[in-house]
Amino acid sequence: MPVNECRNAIVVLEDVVKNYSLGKVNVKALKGIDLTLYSGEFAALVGASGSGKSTLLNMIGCVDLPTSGHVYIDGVEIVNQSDAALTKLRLHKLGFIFQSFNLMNVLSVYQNVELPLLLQGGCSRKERRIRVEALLERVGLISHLSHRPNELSGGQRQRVSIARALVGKPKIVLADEPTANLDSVTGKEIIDLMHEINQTEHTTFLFSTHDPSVVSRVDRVISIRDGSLREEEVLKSDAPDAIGAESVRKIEMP
Amino acid sequence: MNVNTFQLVLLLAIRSFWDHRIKNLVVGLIVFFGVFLLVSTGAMLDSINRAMESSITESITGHLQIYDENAEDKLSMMGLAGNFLSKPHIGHISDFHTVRSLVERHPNVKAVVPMGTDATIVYSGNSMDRAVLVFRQGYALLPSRMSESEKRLAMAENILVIKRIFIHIREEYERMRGFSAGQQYVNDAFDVLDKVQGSQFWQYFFVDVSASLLFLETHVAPLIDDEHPVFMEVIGTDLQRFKENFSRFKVVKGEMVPAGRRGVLINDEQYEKVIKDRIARVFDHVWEKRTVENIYIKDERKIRDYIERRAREYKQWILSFDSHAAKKIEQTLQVFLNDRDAGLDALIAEFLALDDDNFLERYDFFYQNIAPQLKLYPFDIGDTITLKKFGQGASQNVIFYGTYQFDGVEKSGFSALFHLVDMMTFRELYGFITDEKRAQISLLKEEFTALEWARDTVEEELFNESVDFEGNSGGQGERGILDLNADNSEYELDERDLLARKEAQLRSHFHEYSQQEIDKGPVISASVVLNDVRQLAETQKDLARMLKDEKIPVQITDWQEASGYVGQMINVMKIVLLVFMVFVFCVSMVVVNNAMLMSTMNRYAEIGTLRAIGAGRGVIVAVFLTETIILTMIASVLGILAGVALIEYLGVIGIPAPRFEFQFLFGGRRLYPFIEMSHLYFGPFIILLISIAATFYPALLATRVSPVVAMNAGE
Repeated sequence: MPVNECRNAIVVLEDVVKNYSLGKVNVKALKGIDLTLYSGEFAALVGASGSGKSTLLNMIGCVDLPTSGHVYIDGVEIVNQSDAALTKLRLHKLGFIFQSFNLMNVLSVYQNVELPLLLQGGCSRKERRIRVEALLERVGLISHLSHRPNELSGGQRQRVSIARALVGKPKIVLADEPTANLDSVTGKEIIDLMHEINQTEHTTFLFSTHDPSVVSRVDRVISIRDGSLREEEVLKSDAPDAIGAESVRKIEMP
Repeated sequence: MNVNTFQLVLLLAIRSFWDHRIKNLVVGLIVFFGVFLLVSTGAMLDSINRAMESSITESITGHLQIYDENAEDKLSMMGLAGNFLSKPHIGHISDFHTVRSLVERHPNVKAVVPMGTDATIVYSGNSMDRAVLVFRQGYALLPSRMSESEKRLAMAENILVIKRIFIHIREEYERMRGFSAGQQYVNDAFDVLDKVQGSQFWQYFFVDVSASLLFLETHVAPLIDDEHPVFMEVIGTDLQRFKENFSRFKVVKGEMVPAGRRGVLINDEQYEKVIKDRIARVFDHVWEKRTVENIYIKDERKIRDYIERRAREYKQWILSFDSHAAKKIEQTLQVFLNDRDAGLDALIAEFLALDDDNFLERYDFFYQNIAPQLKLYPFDIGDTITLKKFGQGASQNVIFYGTYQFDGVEKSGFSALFHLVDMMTFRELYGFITDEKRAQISLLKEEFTALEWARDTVEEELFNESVDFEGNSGGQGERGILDLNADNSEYELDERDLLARKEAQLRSHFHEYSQQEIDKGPVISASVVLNDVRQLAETQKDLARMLKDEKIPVQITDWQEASGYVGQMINVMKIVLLVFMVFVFCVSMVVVNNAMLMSTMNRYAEIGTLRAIGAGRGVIVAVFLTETIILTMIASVLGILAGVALIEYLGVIGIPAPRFEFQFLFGGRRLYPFIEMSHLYFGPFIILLISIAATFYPALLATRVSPVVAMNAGE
């Protein structure tokens, strides 16, 4: 890793293999992935459906474990961790944005965003309020505090999701096809919002997508096909320069 | 789990309520009905228990029973019912007086009443017995100077009645020979009938009337089973004290046995429903069904069968008429049925063909014209009846003073089983040799020494009067016929002995016993009536200690145990209910479990999301359990309210006893159930446990939902 050695590696994958058995068929979903994500990156994971991108995202999200290889999240090896430890890891270090938003319809917008803070505990009501309201302000939904998610549009819901993913101050936000259920304009707005946050708050983002218009907006594209990383491109010369001029980089392919 | 998480769990649980309304409705309804059922049946059972307690303690057992410490069996006041053959060995208390004076010292003891139950048979005699009795009475009135042929003429009508009975018996046995030919008893019967229907019997009849009549009583009467002996369970007690302390006791017909006197009180229900003339009972039964229960003959097959069965026995019934009555009934029926030529048999058969249209008219006619000609009861109030100890043969003659009932439960089968007899008679019947009996025996010994009575077993013979009577009389009767010229001195001795004993008994009938005489002596058990029933357990303990300190060899038991299987019935009901409940619970657990499982499956995405975001397994379980607990509590409160409302409502209007037998359980004609705080805890608690148990598996499944699910979930 010649270029970015000085930067914090948030996620490191070493020779990650994942095999599923689908009935009697053995599916090799990931065939030895090596990948490092650095703090402050805004990266897209692209690939056709079935290419293994969801599986890879699940590994990084600590909701699934590799068949072999190592996954480090913020320096912690997740293989051989207990369920409770992994849960804790997700709660404190990861933020999730789902394709289908996955908001609690029984809770208000405010409560949905507050949820991870309640799970983390240790925050006073006032602290929570300040944090939640700030984020909702940030995503432009401060006026919708007490709405129920099903009273909102798709784009608004995904904004709530973003706020929820960010509220626990995660090291990295993982987004699984965050624009798949949105029209292209709204999808673009969501990517913009995420990018803006990435730029201003230096939050690390990794999201999967197969939308070419989205790909054009990221700093780093991680492409996956048939369970292997094919190539990595960095094309963002026109992007606001948060990472610096040398953000054009090459990572050794296995 | 921290406070914030708990807050979240509660929030999710409450907010999810509507989302899972189908599941909540199903589970809520089951919990509601479960609690409702438990609360109301719990209250009902306790109410029945209390009602039964009142039925039993206010009528038969009192609150506590003291009995022999060395009893081999448990005391069972009502346990005897239907169990004549295996009588329990419950021993006796040798001196009631000591027990009473000791126990009555306890401040919570209101009274101590001596008690004992025994199975007896009352022989009311059959048509032959009655015919012989009428003959004897008529014959005794004839002037002694009459010649034999004059006597024969004067008694002609009675002889005719007796001969008619012979014909009927022969008919019966001819019929019986059809299917039980060769049976010894059938052959014996024909031997006897041949004898009495032969010319020799009537030729010598007036030579020794007593012996001949005795032969009819001992040999012919047993051939007829038209008057079944009445089995009676008697309670021997201090009648006065019984009356004062058992509040349900009430004399219905006749009068109370005068204080200190011997006497028997027959249960009114049994007097009317078992002892009364069988055809009169048919009319009573149909009348009661029609007027009280509004059930007509056409409505119920049982009534029709009953009428038919009894109507078929009309020939036996006719045999119970004396000749005068038969004539009178025949005449009135000929007019009533407008058939001048018909004989009595045909008329009665026609008359007993009852239906709803003719019933009322015939009922009136029966009681106005036929009943006055009959003896409606084998023994009337004021008669002396013979109580015979079942199985052993000791018997006591005692005056029948009146009928009684236990108010409120008079028609329930249980309390109708008992008749009340005074303590003195009971002791002798039961086989206790009292001082009085000893004196009587020695007196008799003295009186009859002149007659060279020299048997070793005199005491026993006297004691078991009936054995004596039956054992000897058969032989003498036979001698009276077959050996009329033989020396009759021994027979006369027996006859005199009988008279003397009758005399002695007659004297004892009108002897007024002092309280001391009644108290001093053995009893089977002592019944304790308390002032405050709520302190029953404490009082029982106190008394047990007091009795033990005085070294009186007795034990003490409560009414529930003492009443035998009847008192245990509530426990049986509880067990039945418990089994039923367990069944219901299993079913509801399965249903609740399924509903929860279904709802869990619908919530996979939600659970997966929570898990992905960082909710631990504990949070998931907590959400499920909290939902269940909230739901159960709401449904329980509603169930309790419904149960309380129902019981309170029933407590006001009362539940009518569906059948007479239920009066006993209901403590009267209606059960007024009540509800107490204690009924409200148990049900909801059990239900809560069950629903938590039913939630456990679905919750466990939920914890296994992988957060991956959240990734793939659609909205």
